[in-house]
Amino acid sequence: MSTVTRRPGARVPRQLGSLRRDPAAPWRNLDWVLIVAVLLIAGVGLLMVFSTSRGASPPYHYGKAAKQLLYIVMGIVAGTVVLVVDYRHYRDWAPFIYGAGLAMSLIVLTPLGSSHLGAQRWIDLGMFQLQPSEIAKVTFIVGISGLAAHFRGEPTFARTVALLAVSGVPILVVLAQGDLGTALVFVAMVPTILWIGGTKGRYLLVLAILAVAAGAAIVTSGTLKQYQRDRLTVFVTQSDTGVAAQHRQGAAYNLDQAKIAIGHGGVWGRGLFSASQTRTGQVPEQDTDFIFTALAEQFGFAGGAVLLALLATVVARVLRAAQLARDDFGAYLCAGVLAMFLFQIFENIGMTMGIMPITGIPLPFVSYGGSSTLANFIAVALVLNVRARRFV
Amino acid sequence: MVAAADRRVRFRALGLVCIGVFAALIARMWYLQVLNAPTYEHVATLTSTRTISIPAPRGRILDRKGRVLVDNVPTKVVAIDRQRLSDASDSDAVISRLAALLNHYEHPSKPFTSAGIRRTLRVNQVGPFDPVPLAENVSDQLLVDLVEHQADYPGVVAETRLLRQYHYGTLAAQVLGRVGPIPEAEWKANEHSKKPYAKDAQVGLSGVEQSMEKYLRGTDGERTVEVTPAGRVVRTIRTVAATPGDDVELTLDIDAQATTEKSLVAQVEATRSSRGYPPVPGAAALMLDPRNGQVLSMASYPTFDPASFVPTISEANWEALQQPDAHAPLTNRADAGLYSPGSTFKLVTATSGLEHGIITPGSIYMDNGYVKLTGCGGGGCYFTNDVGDGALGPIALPEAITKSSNVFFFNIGERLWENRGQVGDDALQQTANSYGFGLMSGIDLSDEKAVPVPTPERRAKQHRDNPKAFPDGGWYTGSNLNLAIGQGDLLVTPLQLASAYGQFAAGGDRYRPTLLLRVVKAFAPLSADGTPKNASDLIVQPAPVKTGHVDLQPDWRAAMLQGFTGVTQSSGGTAADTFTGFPFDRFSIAGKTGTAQLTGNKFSNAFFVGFGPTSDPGYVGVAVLEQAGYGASAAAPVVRSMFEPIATDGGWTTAQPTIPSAPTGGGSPRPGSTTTLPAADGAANGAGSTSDSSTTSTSTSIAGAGGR
Repeated sequence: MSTVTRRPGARVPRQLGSLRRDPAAPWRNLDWVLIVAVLLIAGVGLLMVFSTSRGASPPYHYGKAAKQLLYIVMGIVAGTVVLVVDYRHYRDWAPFIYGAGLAMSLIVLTPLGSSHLGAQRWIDLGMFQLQPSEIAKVTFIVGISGLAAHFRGEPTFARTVALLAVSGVPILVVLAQGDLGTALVFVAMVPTILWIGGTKGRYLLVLAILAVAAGAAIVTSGTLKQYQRDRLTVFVTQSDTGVAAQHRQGAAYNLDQAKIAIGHGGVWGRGLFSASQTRTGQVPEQDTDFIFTALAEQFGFAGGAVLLALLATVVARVLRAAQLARDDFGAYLCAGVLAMFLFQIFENIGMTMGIMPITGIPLPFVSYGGSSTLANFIAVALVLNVRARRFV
Repeated sequence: MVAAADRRVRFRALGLVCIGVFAALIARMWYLQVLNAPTYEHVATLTSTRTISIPAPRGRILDRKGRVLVDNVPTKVVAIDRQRLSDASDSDAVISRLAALLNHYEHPSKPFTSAGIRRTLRVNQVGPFDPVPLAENVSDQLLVDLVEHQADYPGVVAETRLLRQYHYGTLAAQVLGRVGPIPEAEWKANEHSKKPYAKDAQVGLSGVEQSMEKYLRGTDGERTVEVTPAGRVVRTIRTVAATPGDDVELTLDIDAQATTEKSLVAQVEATRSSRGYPPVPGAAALMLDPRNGQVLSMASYPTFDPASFVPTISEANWEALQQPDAHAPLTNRADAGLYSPGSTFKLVTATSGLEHGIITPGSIYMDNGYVKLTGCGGGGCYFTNDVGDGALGPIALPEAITKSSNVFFFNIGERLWENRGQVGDDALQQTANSYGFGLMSGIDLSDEKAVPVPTPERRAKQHRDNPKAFPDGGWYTGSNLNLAIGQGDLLVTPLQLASAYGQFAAGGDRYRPTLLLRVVKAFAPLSADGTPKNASDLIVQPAPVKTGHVDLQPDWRAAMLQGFTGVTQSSGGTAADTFTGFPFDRFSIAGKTGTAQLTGNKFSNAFFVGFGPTSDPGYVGVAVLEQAGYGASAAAPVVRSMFEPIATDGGWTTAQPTIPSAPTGGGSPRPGSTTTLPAADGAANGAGSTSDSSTTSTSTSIAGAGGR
């Protein structure tokens, strides 16, 4: 009676210690904390995009939220593809990946690119406006990491200069597109990779001094357009409450409105869809660069803290992946992604609160936008890739 | 690979940077959302959006050939933005500087003063965010001065507004009507409608401007702006463009209008100068097509300049228009002037007599010059022909009409009353109603007037309701006799008279008089005949509306037509002298005179109604001159002048626009349009000529070379 009968073809339960179980298999070493955190942030972002774009009163608009959902799905698909391929192949392909990103960024400057709001950053693909500089962030990380890894941890002065030169080209291209914010993201990545690569501290110090001097020169030299200069300097001249800012226009107005919206959120927020400032379009660019204001007004300090905690989780896991990386290339990849996320988070949220200059940088996984969403998912996939293959 | 220990330090440092970044963000959030939350809460409630209306350009008004009668002209306006003025540290000084500047350049009859400007600013006719206009149509030099010294005039803005422009001066002033600021009551009535008015909206206040308001007004746009706590407009959130009003094409022919007004004014002046007295305080004339009711011209004297109401009429001008000796120039006497019809009413009496078998087309009646009521004693029992007519002897209906025998029609009135047991005590009034008398004609003008035809019943009721004003509530045989020749209490408008004779001329069907040819969307491409190329651009094109019918037997109509034709064309006709030399062979005209005696020592009101060509009438013309004497001598010349150009030249005097410039509303008069006028029989084809055929240019309102 006790005979256990089994249907033909049914799976045989695995035995502990079976040779069929490989603890080093990449799919067993996926960082699920990172994945869940990213998906949660993307979900919050989707909700924020909807809340800022649906309109103040019926009929509500679902178009932007639907598009953002599509971008997220596209990002997950692209990320999965990037994850499946062993990242060490990317090291071999690094020069080509770097070159492809650079080429895309250059296309924008030709008549094939389309311009918007005084900046030429897009390639019009019909239903989709591709912003190559977003994608180039990731290709740039792969390229620089590949080159740095090629130097095998011996960052001599000459090698450091070579690496800076290779980094400088795409930065200049992005600057030529009038995209100061993205250029700064690139700028943040290079020293981070160099730092992890063991470059001497004094080199980096010299580099930092040079960068500050160059920045000051650019701001004061007049090569920037007035609105760009205003955006960079407004956080210095901002008012405390926005009340005295009746005559302020442009960047100052943006900042005042952003701060009013954030402050209006208070500790617990106004509630979903109940925010008077961000619901009625008072804050400019509130579904892209200023989307943090929507969250802060609707969910207050509590909601903002939760989002920051999720973002901090992502940053921490990326840092951990860098530490755990099996090789230099993996560590550099993760360090580059870390720099990218950290800088964008600090710059984006910081500018809405008036502690950073205003630049057009999206908040990773939250801001509306196809190119940046795609790039961010690919970047996370690279990190997952490095960590998952740390034993193989 | 660097040393593991060194790498650990480097990662730790990177971790510290990460912690620092998030700590900074959390700290700033804490500062804004917890520590400073009350401040921002306050600011957020104060910040809000406001919506400012963008007025839509009014639609144009065109005549039946597409010539622009009224459109809009952009005008420079100096206005004050109260927000910005109140911000200025020296707003009082700004106002006094501005007053001096305006006086220097504009030389207004009433100089601008600081107190006056401040009073204007207090009047809240415009929205709180709309600049308050101070001076319109200002000179370019003033604008230049303002712009050059903008710093001295904070809050003073020069802007362009669209104002109504009348291309033909005073022509058809009462028909076109005037525009002005919306009356409070009308604004309130529309406040909750789908399309509410702005507080400072310009609306039609009379004439076509008023009756066609729904087509002309367009849809205002709006600008939603963000306003800071101090009420300052910071930025525009949303702009919805205004949709201009539709073009209204009238049945009026501006050439016919010019001819009619010119004839009327000429006759009024001739009548006045020939005798010194009578005064002729007012007059009216109109012409319509009896086959569809379309009004071709409509004139009322005295008239006014509609441009004087743009943008607002001065107090002095308004007072002048209201003076008793101005004789109500704003009133359209053609559809709102009430007059005793006099003998022109014999149309009704004749028809009623025929309808009820009192007379036949051929029956003879003995005109002894008077009628004495049976069973009546004293002087009040005698009803006579007009002075000088005497006894006409044995006459039949045609001759009675031609010579306007009172006695013949007294007889009908008397016998209708005697037979009231069979025909009812209001047989004459019933027939009058069937011709449209006593009823609103239904013309698309809101100022039309009509009073019921007096009946025994109404008179009794008036007496019951108000014995003081109507001491005698009885209806007597004499009352019926008076009514039979259009005297007594009966009052009609020139329009009703034209409509009734048009009904006779058209064979018994009466069409509602109309001024509306069609309504077309602004900027619509038009084909040669004036209709829009795209059917969707045609908003309205009303078909003729039949509003009444009289069963005219052919032999009745023939006899009456013979009589009316004789009025102008046979030697004994009452208006034969006036029509001497008229080319009847080319355009056979018939008509009827009317001379309505007035109480007191006044000259009679003079009426003439004419129609033609008699074979297939396409025109009815009416003229009335108040206190001018006999219809034949005072009114008939006007109608003759109106018809003469049709008969002789094939068209009316060409009207010259006083503003020859291209219309601002887009499109231009259609030069190639063929006439849509009913062609007169014989030679009178191709009526109407285009305005570019004349070479003389003149600034008077009624212009062009004489047509006879």
